[in-house]
Amino acid sequence: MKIANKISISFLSVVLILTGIAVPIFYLIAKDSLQKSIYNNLDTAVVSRANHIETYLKMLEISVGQLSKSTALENLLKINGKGDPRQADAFAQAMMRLKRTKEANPAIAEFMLMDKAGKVAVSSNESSIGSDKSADLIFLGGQKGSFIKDVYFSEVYKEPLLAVSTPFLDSQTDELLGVLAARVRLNDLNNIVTEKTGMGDTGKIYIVNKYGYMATPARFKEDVVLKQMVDTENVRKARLHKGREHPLSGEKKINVFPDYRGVLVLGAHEYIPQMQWVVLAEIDAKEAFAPLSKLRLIFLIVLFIVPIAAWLLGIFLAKLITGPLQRLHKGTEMIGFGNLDYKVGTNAKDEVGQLSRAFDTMTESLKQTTVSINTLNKEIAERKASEEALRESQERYRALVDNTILGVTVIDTDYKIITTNTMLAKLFNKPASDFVGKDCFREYEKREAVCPHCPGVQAMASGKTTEVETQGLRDDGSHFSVRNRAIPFFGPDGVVKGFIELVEDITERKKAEEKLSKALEKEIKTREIMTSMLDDTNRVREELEGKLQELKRAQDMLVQSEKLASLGSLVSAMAHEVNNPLMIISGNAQLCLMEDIQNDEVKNNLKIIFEECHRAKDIIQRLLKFSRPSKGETKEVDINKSIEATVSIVAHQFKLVNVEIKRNYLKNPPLISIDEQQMQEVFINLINNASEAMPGGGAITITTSLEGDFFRIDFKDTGCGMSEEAKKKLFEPFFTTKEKGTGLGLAVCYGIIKAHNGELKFESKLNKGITATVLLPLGGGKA
Amino acid sequence: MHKILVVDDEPGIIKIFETFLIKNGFEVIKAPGGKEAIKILNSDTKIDLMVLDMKMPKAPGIDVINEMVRINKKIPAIILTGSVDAEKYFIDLKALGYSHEDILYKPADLFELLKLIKKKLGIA
Repeated sequence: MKIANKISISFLSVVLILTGIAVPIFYLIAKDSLQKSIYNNLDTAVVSRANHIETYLKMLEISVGQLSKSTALENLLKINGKGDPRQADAFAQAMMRLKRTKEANPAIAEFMLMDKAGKVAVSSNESSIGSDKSADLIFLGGQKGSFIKDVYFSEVYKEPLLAVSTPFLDSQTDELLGVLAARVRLNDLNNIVTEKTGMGDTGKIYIVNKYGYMATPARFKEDVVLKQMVDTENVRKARLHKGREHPLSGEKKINVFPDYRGVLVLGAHEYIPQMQWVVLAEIDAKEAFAPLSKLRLIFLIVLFIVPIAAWLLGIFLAKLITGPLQRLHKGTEMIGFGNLDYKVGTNAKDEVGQLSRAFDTMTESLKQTTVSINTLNKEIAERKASEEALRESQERYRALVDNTILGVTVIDTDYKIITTNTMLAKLFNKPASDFVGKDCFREYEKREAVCPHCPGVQAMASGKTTEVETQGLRDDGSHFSVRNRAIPFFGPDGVVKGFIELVEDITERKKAEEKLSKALEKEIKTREIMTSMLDDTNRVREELEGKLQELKRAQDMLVQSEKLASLGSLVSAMAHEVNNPLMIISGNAQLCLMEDIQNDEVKNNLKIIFEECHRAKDIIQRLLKFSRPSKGETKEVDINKSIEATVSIVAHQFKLVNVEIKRNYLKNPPLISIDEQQMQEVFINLINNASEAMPGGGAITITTSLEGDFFRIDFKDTGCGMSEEAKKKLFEPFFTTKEKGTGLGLAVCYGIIKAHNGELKFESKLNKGITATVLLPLGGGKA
Repeated sequence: MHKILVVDDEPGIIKIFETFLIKNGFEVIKAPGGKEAIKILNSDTKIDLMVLDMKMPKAPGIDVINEMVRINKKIPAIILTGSVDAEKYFIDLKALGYSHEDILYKPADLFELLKLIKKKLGIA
């Protein structure tokens, strides 16, 4: 940001903050004091009116009180209704007195005098004479003392009136004779209250009676007396406050509130205890606060103008400061372009002025330095030219060396490589720069010391060119044949400085020579091979045929095992359903057998039922074992011992049928994790099968060995072998070649060995016996 | 008199065991399923031995065994099975203290069952 902007913005923000704080504060203070002054005016008005009203009421009381001292009226009351002959005269006197007084006082609507019983004895209005007022407040209130009846609507006069009454006493005895009353028109009261002087356009004063109705006319509404209910905040507070009666009961002042019309007003109140009246003075808030809106406008203008002024002032100040800086900036640019004669100095006394003069001084000294540099530059240019010439000649020489078809390398007396051309680098498959500074014998022949045949040694000793044929060795181990020619070179003092080696790649030539001799040898060999190949072809065909058959067998086995697996699960499900009925048959047969049966044939039949049930059970158990999904309890076992334990069970029996058992066990066999009980069942099955394959006796050879990751067990017999059909159906359940076999033995073996992740296979050659082979995984296999 | 609980979902089998065991001087309580057996085990404290079928439709035999362990009330049991169920649960059963000897395969010889019961109860 430019300095100018920075200054004017800081100026602006300070002013904005200050005016933003000050203006609202001023406004609030102004509003508050205005409100206070308006309120004070209203309060003064309402208090003075209330005083005026009280005085007026007092005056009414006094005037009625004076009339009650009238002798004419007293006379009438004393004789009234007693049949006195003076009554007519007294009545006329009293009547006159009342009429006259009424005429003298236009605000009075009627004077009336009631006797002790409340009957109107005389009245300025003749029509009311004789009427009974005993229940009227005028009579009841006036018996005890001076009484003012609140504003009421008179049915007789069809207007709202006040009534003042006072007891009429005997002038001698002070005995109550009656009640004197005056009905008063409200004109005077209204005049007092509704006087608008100093109340502005909307100010109004009115009275609300104790029932909450307006007792005097309103300024903005017709026909409200005794009809308009007023329940505003002003009234409520006035009743709470009770004016002078309780001067300390809380704050008298109230804020802006809606009046009976719903218009927002400012107001004050006063309470007249005698009548329980509330006098209210109110002025519309709109008028009261009119001066405030003018003030607001002024403040808004100030808020708008002050920041603009601040902004302009800021820009002016910024210009004052940055002007000299800009001139300085321009000066530095001019000098930067090389115009060292430009002067930026000013006479200003401030810091910028000092800086500009210092700048001029600097420019002056710079000018002097520049002159000496020019001479130096000239010298450098000359030197460059001679160097260029040297470089060119070097390049020519380099191009010559690099483009020759011989490899060239320069080596010093310590056998360190000074340089190498691209051809040589290409021979070694490396960039030329990799050789510089290294030992030549290491780089070219991968030796630890100078090559014994090195032509350089001789060349440097004799000072003559020396030649040798050798082999170059690359980093990747490959080598190539070369002819090396070493040429010594000397320093200016005639001392030998090293040698140049010219290297010629003669690999291709060597190869060609070798090829020729090899081709001859091959010719002879080929003839020999051709004759033997004919034999080989025949052998390969035989082997392929064998493999094909093996493959076919494997495929058959695969199909077989799939079949067996599905058969197994079917059998498992079925077996469960069959066992419960078998249990019931067998159990019932046993229960019957426990009875005392005389008939031997029945007894025998029951035994047969029982035995056959258990034969069925055996078959089912075997089937279940065959379909068993996994191994049972496994432990680490020495298989040799396990086989031996099985053999010992059958050995005795075999002797009887002339079967010999030969053992060929692996020594120190590894332990294998198997379910030994199941595995022994496999062994006994295989041994029994072998024995049964040799009806005329023979030998079973049991061999254990290791085959890859498997432990191998062979059971070889010397029987007659088996047919192709038997081979195919070997593992099928219920397939048997024996007269009494169930056909489940091998199926069960197969199931058990599969569960051990092992393999079971048979090899049979007719009349050469069968070999059954079990392969068990050494790791135990994961079931 | 020894009290034996017979648990099997097949009424025919229960009837055979009941007749046979009563003839041999035992008191027999019958439960037509695992749930009923658990109920009886929880209420009757005087059962000496249980003949338990493994495969039952609602609560299988292993549930009854587990419940016995849960309420810590282990009574000798002879486990009867028609299939490979006992094998399937054998590892569980072994962990709970049963062995191959406690398992009989259906159809079982009743006298074999009797022999096993007498051995378990320790009577000659």
